[in-house]
Amino acid sequence: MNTPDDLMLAADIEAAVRAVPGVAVVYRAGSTLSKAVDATTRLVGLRDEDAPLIDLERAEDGVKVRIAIGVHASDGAAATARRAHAAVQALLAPQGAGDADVHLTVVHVDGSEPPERAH
Amino acid sequence: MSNEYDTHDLRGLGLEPEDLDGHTIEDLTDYLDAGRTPPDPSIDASPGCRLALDALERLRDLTPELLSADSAAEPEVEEAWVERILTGITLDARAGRRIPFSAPSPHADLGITEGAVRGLMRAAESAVPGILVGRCRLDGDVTEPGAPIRVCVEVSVPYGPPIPLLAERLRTEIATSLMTHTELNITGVDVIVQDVRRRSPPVEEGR
Repeated sequence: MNTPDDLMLAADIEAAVRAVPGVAVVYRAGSTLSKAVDATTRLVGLRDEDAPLIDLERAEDGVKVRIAIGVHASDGAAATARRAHAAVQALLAPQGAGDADVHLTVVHVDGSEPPERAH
Repeated sequence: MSNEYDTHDLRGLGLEPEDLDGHTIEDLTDYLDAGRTPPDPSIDASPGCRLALDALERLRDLTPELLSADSAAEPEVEEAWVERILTGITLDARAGRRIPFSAPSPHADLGITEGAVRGLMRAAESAVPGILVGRCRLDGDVTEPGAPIRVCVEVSVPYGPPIPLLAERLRTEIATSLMTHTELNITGVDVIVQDVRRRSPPVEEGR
């Protein structure tokens, strides 16, 4: 992810995914190595904490998006993953990136109730 | 590929900081004791830590009562099952293999980590009072859609309630949860009882 436009697009994707019913948390996506580097740089205060958690790359064969989410247990993980993917597609398609490769992984299922359902 | 643990030296995995994004079980226990304040982003933003915290919180809810009873009876047994459960929590928090979901288009690659699925299996313990899950395993090629998968949990149970009944309730809970959240082809849920914990000191019966 290099350009300001890509950073904005990644931030928009993150916001769209967060808004999907059943999504509890958006985690930092990327390879174990890149996350380890991120963790190290954060420790020494070098990383911008506001950087998007979505990993977006432009390759010769198109846009590649990596997303890691936590979901609420009250919603099925597979169903939530598909809803999140649909939200990303709905965002990318009007920008001519409807054929982007979207790699989305559920990394945690949260047993607590979603805020709007909690009593 | 039968299960993730087959490919690792378990002795090298127990309670190692790298399993929890640089944190230890002790760090997470301290964090829980402090009421998760002040918030620590390096813990809250780590799926592995979140999985371990979920399990530690359930364990902590049960532990005072259980420890007081077990410590009076057999301290060495108490230490053994607590250690086993803590080790299991750490091992299970690892992301592990990626388990695919059927995707709506060739450009979509959707899935769930094995660690998240083990978290689901472990969370089933909250539906069966007194039961504690020590370790979870998924046997079979979970990366292959439709492949037969058998899951196994090792548990500690309270003395008293019929064990087959507890095991059946846990089995049902796990199967339901996996059916809700995954597309795995589950062919069986094995429950192995590793410990039976006494709720009160043993009564002398003159044997």
